[in-house]
Amino acid sequence: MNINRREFLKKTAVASAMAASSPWLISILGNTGCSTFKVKSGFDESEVKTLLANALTRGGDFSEVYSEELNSLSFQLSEGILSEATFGVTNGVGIRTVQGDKYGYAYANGFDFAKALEAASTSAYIASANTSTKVAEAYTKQPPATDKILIPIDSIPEKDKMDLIMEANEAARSYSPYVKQVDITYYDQVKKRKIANSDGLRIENKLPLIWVVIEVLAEKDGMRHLGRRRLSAHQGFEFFDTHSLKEAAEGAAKEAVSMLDAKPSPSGEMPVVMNSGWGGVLIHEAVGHGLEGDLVYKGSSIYAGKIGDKVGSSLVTMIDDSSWPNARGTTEFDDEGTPGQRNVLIENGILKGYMQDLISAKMLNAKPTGNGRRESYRHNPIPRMTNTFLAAGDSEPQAIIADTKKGIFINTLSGGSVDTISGQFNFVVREAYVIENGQLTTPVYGATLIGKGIDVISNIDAVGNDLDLGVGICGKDGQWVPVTTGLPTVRIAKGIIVGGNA
Amino acid sequence: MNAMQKIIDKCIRSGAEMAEVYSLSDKSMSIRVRNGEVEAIEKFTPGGIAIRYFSFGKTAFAHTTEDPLSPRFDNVIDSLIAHLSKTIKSVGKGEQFDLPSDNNIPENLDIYAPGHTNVTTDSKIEYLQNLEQLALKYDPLVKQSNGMSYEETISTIGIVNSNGLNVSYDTTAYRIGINVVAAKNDEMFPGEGDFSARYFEDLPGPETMVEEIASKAVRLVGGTSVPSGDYEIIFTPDGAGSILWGLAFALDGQSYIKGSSFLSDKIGEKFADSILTVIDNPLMKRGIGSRPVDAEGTLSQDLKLIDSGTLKGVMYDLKTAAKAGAKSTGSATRRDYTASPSIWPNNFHIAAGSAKFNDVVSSCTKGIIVEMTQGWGLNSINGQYSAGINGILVRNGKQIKPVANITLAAGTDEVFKGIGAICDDLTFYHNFNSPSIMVKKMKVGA
Repeated sequence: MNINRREFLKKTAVASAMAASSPWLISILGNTGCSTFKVKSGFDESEVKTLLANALTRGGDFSEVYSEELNSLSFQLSEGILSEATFGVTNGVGIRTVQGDKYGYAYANGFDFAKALEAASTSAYIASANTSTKVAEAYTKQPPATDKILIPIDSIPEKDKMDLIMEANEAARSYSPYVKQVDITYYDQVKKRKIANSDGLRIENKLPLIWVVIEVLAEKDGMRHLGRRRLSAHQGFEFFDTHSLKEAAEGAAKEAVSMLDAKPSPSGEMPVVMNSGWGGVLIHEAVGHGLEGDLVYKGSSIYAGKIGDKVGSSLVTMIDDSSWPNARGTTEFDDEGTPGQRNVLIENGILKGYMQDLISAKMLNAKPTGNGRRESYRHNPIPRMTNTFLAAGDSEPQAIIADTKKGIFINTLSGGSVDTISGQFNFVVREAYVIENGQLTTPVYGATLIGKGIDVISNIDAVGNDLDLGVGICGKDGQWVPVTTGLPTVRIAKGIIVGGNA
Repeated sequence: MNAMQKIIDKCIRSGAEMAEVYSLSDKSMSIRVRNGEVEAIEKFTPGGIAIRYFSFGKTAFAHTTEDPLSPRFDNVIDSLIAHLSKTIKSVGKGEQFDLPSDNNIPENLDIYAPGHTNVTTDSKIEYLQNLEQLALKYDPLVKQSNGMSYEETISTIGIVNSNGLNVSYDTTAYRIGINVVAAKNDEMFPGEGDFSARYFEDLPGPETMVEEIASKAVRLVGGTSVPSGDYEIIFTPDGAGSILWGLAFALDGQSYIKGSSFLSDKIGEKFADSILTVIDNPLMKRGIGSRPVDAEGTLSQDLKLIDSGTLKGVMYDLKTAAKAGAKSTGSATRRDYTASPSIWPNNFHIAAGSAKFNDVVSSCTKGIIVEMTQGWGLNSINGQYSAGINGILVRNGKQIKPVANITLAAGTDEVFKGIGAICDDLTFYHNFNSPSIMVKKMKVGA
């Protein structure tokens, strides 16, 4: 039985490595001949069991083996030249032993069993319990098929991808004579994850990810502005049927050029109207991080102990949804194997729940919510956001602006950060306009927004019907994960201070 | 012939004009203690190799975690090379340059001191437990520890290229992190910071580290706003980071020649007060960013980028230097083996002045000591300064109260021509370091 199972797993492993083959990976396998070149993909079941048991030699509640194989391709366009192509082959295993809220973690590159065994012994060091935990019988869990992939990204010749980039470059350059530079980064990857834990869970999937960043620099009379558009999804090449790189490039150029006439931003507390989409980073930073379970149980969040309390305006319903089909923050299941789901965090201003991984759920006596994420096999999982957004309201976006006598309209933000302990957040504004008597007037540059998260969600007094997601990268504890943040057009009546130099 | 040299030969045989192999092998361990107990132990052995494949101004790049001892290593490398040689044909033509060949690398940098890695894990844990006790006892307002951390890394970096370069060097790095929370009347404020050194013994003593980090949380908790208007601004070394980061991006030769730096076309121009000198010196003995060669094998150089207020030069790697008609300044840096080289400084700092911090504060009539900033600070593209800040209000030489919820903004000239004093309190526990700096007038928004 055992031998059959091992053989079966080995064959499956080779087959799935083949399925993951991009034209360039096919060339790797093709060169050596598939019949003689066996790709070791992760570990077989008996190796996994040994690793799990080894990680529990000093006790502990739980051990886990996380294997990852990542093939990536990227192109860099700068000054009209597609100047560099990059290929990456990365694989390795991370092993974790958990006791209470403590953990040991170690990883090894590749799938060398001896190295992995050493990693397991290192991770075991954390535990000091006399109790012995047994490794349970394995059961396989089918991941939810959240993401629909039509044209595998790794089946497309590189030339087709290069053509898309060149076309976008042309579009941005011909937009205006003030456009001085266009930089485009194209990146795609196929990542295969396998998770096994001492409770018996075995789960695996393979997802593509596309990520394109377009930056356009415009210059006139010593004024400079960098416009930016980013596109991303867990999708096949069909992504580009509905997301035009050319249009995105024109959008970045339009932003860069229109901001050349910008004046210094006014400063002080004023009503802020935030455009839909990536403006959701406001919710992500100002509120989202404070709802991550690890910060809550460690007492580092102002939202700790406030479930059931009114924390925001009744117009505020905030959701983290890791099951949004194909979205950049979608995981199908998180990096501990918990299925992705839609979690309502705040409903009509009432705090409903936090985002949990396995440890924080245990510490807060709650259920895991599918938010245990890690950057790669080199990192231990922690509670993270996925696709985080404010639910749509019923106002027309134009009506929100028309109804604002004086204030600032934020079209795009570069990004922001928050200190969850003090609750202070900040955002760097890229494109903004003064609102006077319900009209957008002067473009303004150099604005920083600051405030406290709880003031923002308490003072949202208008929510638009135009929910949209924006794509980005979120950093926490030195780990970077892909996310989306979303927002309909909203107005924050007070509580945000605009810092400018006017 | 070693594995790296073999890869070079294979590249050349497949048609490369030049080739380069960069290898990184790290051994790293970290411990985090919170509330007296070990919260996490992590052990890492990251490593990998990166291949750059050149063909007359064209570049293709590949990286892999594959171990040279693994049975499939040769297969993966052969296939990657076959692919590089094919793809390079469709890549656009950039500037042509030559790879370095000087194997006489400086050997007196004193950046490898593995002694402390042999200390037992238990005594490292004990060190952190004592540090946490010191921090919690520092002041009654320090209410919580969010963890003390220890990290050690031993790295071996090797660079081999087809011009005959074959260099390698070893480094160590030790890092201590302190994370506490001060609380007063329902308000919480973090005290967070870290210190790094090549020698464990070069780190400040536990009392000094705790004093620096915990005192900040205690001073700044419960900050309130101040009226909008112009203030004299005294940036502490931490606060001055918001200027230093913007300068690093602005001094990147690639931004400079593309016109996306506020300093573009300003070499030779005096854009700042004569008091300002900015240096990147990777040859500093025991420097945390020190290295004998850069990530392309170019010999490291002591760079005075801004000298007495005048922009003297910017940082280049090989490719950007070729485009600018200049020489590489040895400023190529790789995040790790997965990243192709880009320009970034290493021991980057504002040169110390002679002013005493306490004298600058006592001669200030209406100002703010800026200890923490949020947001970008100095924008490297347009040279404007904008940030949210936490600090201390100063009136007539006296420190009055903590301030929060305010923003700070200024134009390029107000910041750089308005520097009124640079203090003597420069230390080197990070890659980026600054002494305290006083700027005569910046705008506070509240």
